[in-house]
Formats: sequence, structure tokens, C-alpha cells
Amino acid sequence: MSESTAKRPLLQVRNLEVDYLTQDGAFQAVKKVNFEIGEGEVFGLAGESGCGKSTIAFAVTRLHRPPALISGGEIIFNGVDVVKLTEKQLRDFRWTQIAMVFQSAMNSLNPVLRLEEQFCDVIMTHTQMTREEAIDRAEKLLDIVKIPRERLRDYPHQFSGGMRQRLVIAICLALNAKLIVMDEPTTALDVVVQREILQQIYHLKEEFGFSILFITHDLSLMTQFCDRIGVMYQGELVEVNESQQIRHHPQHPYTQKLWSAFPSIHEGRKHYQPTTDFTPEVIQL
Amino acid sequence: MLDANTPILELRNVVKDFTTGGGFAKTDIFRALNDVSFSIHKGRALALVGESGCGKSTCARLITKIYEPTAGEILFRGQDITQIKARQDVLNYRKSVQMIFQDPFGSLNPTHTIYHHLARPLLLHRMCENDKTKLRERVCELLEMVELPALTADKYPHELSGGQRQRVNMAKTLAVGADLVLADEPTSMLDVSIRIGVLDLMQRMKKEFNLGFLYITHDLATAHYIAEETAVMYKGQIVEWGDTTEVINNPQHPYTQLLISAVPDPDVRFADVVKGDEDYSGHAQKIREISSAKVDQVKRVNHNHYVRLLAG
Repeated sequence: MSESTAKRPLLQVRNLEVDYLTQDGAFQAVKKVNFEIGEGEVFGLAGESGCGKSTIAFAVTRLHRPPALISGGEIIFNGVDVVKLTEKQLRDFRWTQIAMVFQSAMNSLNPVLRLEEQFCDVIMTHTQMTREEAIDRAEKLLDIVKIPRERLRDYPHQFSGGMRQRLVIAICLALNAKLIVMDEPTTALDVVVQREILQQIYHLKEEFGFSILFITHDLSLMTQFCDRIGVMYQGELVEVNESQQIRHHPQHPYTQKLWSAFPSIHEGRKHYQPTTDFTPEVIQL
Repeated sequence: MLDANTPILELRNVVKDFTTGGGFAKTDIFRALNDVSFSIHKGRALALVGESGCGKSTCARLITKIYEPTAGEILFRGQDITQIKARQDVLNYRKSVQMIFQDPFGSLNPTHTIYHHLARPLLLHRMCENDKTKLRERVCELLEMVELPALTADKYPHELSGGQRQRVNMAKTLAVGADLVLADEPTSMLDVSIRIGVLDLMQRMKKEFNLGFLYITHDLATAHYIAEETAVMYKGQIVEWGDTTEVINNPQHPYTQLLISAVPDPDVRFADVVKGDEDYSGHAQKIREISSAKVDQVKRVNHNHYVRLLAG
């Protein structure tokens, strides 16, 4: 590695190939993908639906299910090849090393269990904590995502979409995972709530120093939030660069096309000239 | 009375209350729309922007006569739609006012071909003779209008992408010769790369067929792309409205400002965004609170740009 300034890679994905087995043979959804994520880094994967970005997210956590199959490559996390882990090792690995927030994460809470149970489940499975200690930890986690402690006794349906999303993030933080995979974490939420949640994630990242694999189709948001971005197209990683480079000097034609796919509302605002020929007036309806 | 300036559709001080509870629980009245007025003109689009639950879809439901307004009136070409009662009149009204829904996967019947989806409204509204060759000709023509190949006619919905399905839905509105299209988040489930194509098609429909659009969305960026006028809604009240460029470039109401500031700007690093407002949630909450109160005073900021004043 020539870049001495680069942070030590936490996750290295090398020549990763994921196939979906179909009746007409294997469909390669991820084709020889290489990227790495440094400690404390936010790495984004952009691309349209079906390009394989979520498949990578599932593969990194080995949560992919048949017919998906990792057919080649390595996923080195902190020196360990995730592809080679046994089921038992995986169970210890998930949550403590890598935690995940999925698309429509608000639906990933169990509707029939109180939150308390869901927190205790994750914490007690992975640590030696007693129930009291686990609840104490859960209360502290709620403080972090700014949800009142007493709501631990509530069921998921008693929370709004944004709050449920924050709860999932709180569970992800429970065991101090080093990498959090976020697959479209804010897509179902409106912009103001999205901003609130991202701001909270940002503060948490600053405080705890975890890395993030961030997946979204919103390139503006991604450029803003990520340090580096990989652009995927039909299973291949066609361009990887610093987000500002992706913004200002996109190399691959597909990246350029993605940018032109949407005009930013902020462009016009920067050149706005207010009209002066009108005197405002107040009207009583 | 029906001159060129008469809007296709006009809402005048519309109020809609819903009763919640009942049974053994105590009943409560929830005001979903609070004194909403706007109008839609031929060949123009009005974007109704707001967060989920603010009442924007309720507007569409009132316009389609699914609900009746509690107070106020909805005028279609100058006629109050609650007075449209005869079967033929209702049919005609429904023909003129068409909807495009958010979920392109749920809005087409999976057991029927695209041909069926387009031929059926043609027959139902007597837009075409019941003659196989003529129907097919017309269906192919419609598909061409929405930039789909003629052989799409024999496909089933599951063979089409989300964008293509949304185009079929648009062909349906053209088939019956609608005057007004209520598009409820038509692109929010589509990929960014396809979104623009669908929006461009709506733009074309607006110009070529002189359709009026009510574009309902929570996404200011697409509203900005398609609509000449924008109305920002919060808790059942329109808080700011007028020319889209004015509303977006010179927002006056704190809620509009909040919405716009939350749209990601790729040229500003998130670290700087956070520094700009450390307690974003707190401020957002305050703005939500001050924007909730019902106010009757409005400030006209520009020729076509109005903002509701804050209470107190």
C-alpha cells in the first residue's frame, strides 16, 4: 500500500463473486468486486436496483440465503475470512463485529415482543450479562438515540417510523460492532426525519468510531455522507473514489449518467435573484 | 362561465374530519384537512408537498369522490362535485379525473395482459368501438404515446419494470381522455435512473394533451422538476404556496425552509451540515410545533407566492 495516510482497512472484499442459482443456470449478481473499508470510514455503494449492492451487503454478513451463493473471493474482516466461518463462529461474529440496519428496518422489529425483550435477546445471547444488566444497557442505548427510557416497555407499533429506525440503530450499537451495514436506512422516511437520523448516526460514529457500509440510491445523500463511494452497475464495481471526486470528476459514463439523472434543487437556489417590483401585503382569509 | 381561466378543479376552504375511536372507546375528531384551497389549470401541474400523514393523499381521495368533504366545496369546471350523483355523470366525472398510484406493482392486475388493462377502460367509457382490430390498433397507439413498444400489449405486469408499469398507468389515463390526473407519489418507488424518464413523460402529457396534474409527493426535487406551482402542506393546512421557483428559492415559512434544508446537497459535506445546526432535531420539533396552529392571516410575498403567518 503506497498510501501511508490511509487508515488500516477493517474490511477487505477481494474478487467477491455471488451467484444466484436459477433454472437456467447461475446468474452472477456480483462479479469480481474489490473494495475495502478503513477504520472509522463511511463507504457508500451506489447504483440502481438489481445492480447487486444489497447482495454485497448480505454477503458481507453471510446473511444471503439460497439460491444466492458466494462462488468466489474473500471477505477479510479484521484479518478473518468471513467466507470460511462456520455457523457457530458466525453467530458470535454477527452483532459483535458487524451489525446491520436493513431497508425498511422499521419492519425488522418483532411486533409481538416488547422492546425490552428484543434488546435483552441480542445482549444476553452475545454476552454474559444478566437480565438486569442487559436492561440497564438497553436504557443507556435508548438515551443515545434520544428515546425516553420508559418506552422500553412498549411494543414496536407504538413508535413512529423514524423512531423504529432509531431503535434498530440502538440495537446495532448494543455490542459495539466495528462495522455497521446500512442498506437504504432512510429510504422509507421523509426528508426531515432522514436528516434527523443521519445526524444522529453521524454523532454516534464520531463518538464510537465504527465504520459504515452505506447503501442508497440517492447519490446526493451519499456524496454528502460518505468518505468514499463505489458505483455499481450490473454486478460490477465500475468506479471507486473519494466522494468529492465522484461528484466533480466522475470517470465512468454510468456515474455521469447517474448524476445527470437528477437535477438538484440547490442549484437554482444558489443563483436566485429576488424580484423587487412587488410590495408584500398581509391578507385576512 | 367556462372561460379559459376557469380552473379544471378548484378546492375552496375544504375541511375534512375523521372520527376515530367509537365502539367502547371514546370518539374523537381528527381534522385531516383544515381549510384547504387550491386550483389546478389545464396543461399545468400543481405539486402538493408534505410529510406522510399531512393530508395530501386525503385531498386526492376527496377529489375522486371516495370521501365527501366535511365543509367547503370542490368545483370541477365550476360544478360542485358533491352534486354529481347520477350514474352517467359520476362515470363521466371518473373518466375525466384519473389517478396514478404510488405502487406500480399493486395497481395492475397480475392475471391480465397489458392489452386488457388498456382495452377495458376504452370499452367501459365507450372511447372505442367494440371491434378487435380497432381496439388493438388503439391500444398500440396508446402504448406508443407512452414510449412503450407495441408488443408490450401481450405481456403481463410481472414482465415489466416499475417504470414501464407506471407508463401503462399513464396510457390508461390517456385512453379515457382524462382532463386531470391525480398522481400520488408516482415515482417514489422507481429507481432514480428511471424516474426522470417517467417525469419527462408526464411533462409531455401535460403539454401535448393539455392535461392538468395534481402531483402529490414528499420529494421536493421531483416537484421542482415537474410542477409550475407548489403548495407545501403541514398538518392539514397549506402553509406556503405559489410559483415553484419562488417557493423553493425563496421559502418564507419555517416549515418550507426546514423541508428544503433537509434535501441533501451533494456540494456540502455532512460534517459541515452538522456543524451548521448541532441540535437539528430540537429545531425541527420547534418548527413542527409552531407550524401546527391554524392561522387565517396570509402574507402575499410576490405576485404568485403566498405564505401563512405564524400564530402569535
